[in-house]
Amino acid sequence: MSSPPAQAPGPYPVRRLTFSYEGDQVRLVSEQLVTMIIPPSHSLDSLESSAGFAFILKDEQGVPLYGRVIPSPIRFDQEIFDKDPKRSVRREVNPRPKGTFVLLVPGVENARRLEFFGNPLKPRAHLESPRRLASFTLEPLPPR
Amino acid sequence: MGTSDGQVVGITKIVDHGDPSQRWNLVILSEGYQAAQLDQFHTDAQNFVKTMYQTPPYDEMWCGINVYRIDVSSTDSGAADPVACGGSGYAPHTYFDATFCGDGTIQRLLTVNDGTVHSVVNAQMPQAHMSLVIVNSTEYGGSGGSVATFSLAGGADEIALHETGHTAFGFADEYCYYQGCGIDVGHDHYGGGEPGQPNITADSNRATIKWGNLIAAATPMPTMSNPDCTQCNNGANPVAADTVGAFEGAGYYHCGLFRGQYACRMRALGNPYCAVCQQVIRQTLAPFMPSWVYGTNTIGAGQTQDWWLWWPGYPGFEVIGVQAVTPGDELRTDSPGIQQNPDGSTTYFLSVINPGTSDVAFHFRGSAL
Repeated sequence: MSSPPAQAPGPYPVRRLTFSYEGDQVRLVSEQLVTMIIPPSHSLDSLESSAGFAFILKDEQGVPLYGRVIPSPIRFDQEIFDKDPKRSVRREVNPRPKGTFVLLVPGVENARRLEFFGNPLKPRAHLESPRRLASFTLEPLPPR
Repeated sequence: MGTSDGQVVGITKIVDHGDPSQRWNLVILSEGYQAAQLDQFHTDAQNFVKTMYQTPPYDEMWCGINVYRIDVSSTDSGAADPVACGGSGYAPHTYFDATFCGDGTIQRLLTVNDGTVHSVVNAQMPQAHMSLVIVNSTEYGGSGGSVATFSLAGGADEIALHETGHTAFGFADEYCYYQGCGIDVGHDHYGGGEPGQPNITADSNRATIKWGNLIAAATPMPTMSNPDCTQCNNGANPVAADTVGAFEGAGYYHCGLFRGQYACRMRALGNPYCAVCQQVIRQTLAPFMPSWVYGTNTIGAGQTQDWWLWWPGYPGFEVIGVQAVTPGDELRTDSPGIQQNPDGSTTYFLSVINPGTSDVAFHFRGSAL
């Protein structure tokens, strides 16, 4: 079993990473280093092969350090809400997938890459095999 | 259009449970409020905070949550209402460019420029975990994604609670259709891998299902199957409403994916979060809970205890809250209430429920500003 490294109990450095996307092209546009607590890592065992979407922080050797499963922030579909209680919520394909999102990962010194895994970046891809979707190199943290 | 159509006025902490570096921080931003309307936004934000506090399990985890309000004024009031979706054609100048018909075809899709929202939040509150935008319109609408957006229409705050489930806690949708029952093609059987999200599964085996700790030994597995996978299963719940098990139909598929309870806010708006989602919310927010404990008590199996706390002032949404001493022990709360007394003091109420078959020790929490 591969379990995530234990996080410090108190506030610690966290990278606040802002991404933008248009279609399946995702770009890391800015980064802030802040002191805070973030939710604990999910089990790293099966994140790369899970259906859905996951982001994983890795070190230079590709060893996972932290990861979480989230709904895909790259919106190839979007949720529609209605007052009709029989259909209060549903999905529609997004004709213009474009936007911005933020991810929070621990600011650990040996982290070198952030990778996205999940179903392909296109509409209604729930049944297609999960794969690596994108990879970003992280700059070394400034000296403390 | 955009940031030239208003300004960021300032940020105010409206629920203060301590240093933001140690708490889960929610940010609520205004959109489509003119400067003279920001007092109304303060009331609207406070109303949402009250709704959230009264939503289990946020009530019992409240001491771990800060809420910030970012006042952003706009030149004009409201949101765009394009004629393309049958709207009036109203096109106000607002800071985040809120518009109904956000995709050009669906009127109730109320969107904002999420890049501008993130820019403001990154600058004003970089320790934020979640951002919500309240749009100054009484027309029903909202949207999700990295920023949850909702209007002032009755019931639209349910959109914010549903989207918070996605964005903050990683929940999947639990409804068994994509566009709608009887409309979808290709959503009869799920044939993909095990979903990573914590609240749906392809595994209905009692021994291995993700939320097995919540399933009673007597509960049949699967608890509810869909007899006709070409249709949504809208049959009656075969078990008691609070039963946790494996109910077929979830994650946009009629069959092959299971949810933990018959009803849940992630399945249809207006329901509470199911026990599975509540457990994940508690686990996610646990690291943010302050360590100040008023006392410890034990509640017997199947019992309910009513608690109250009197405070000599009205410091905001201070609460009583409870947390099981042993992580994983199930404990529920109900009927949270706040009463502002004529003498200026405040009384808080909370019922503590132990639905399990063993006694549970719990911490009784509270914090003062």
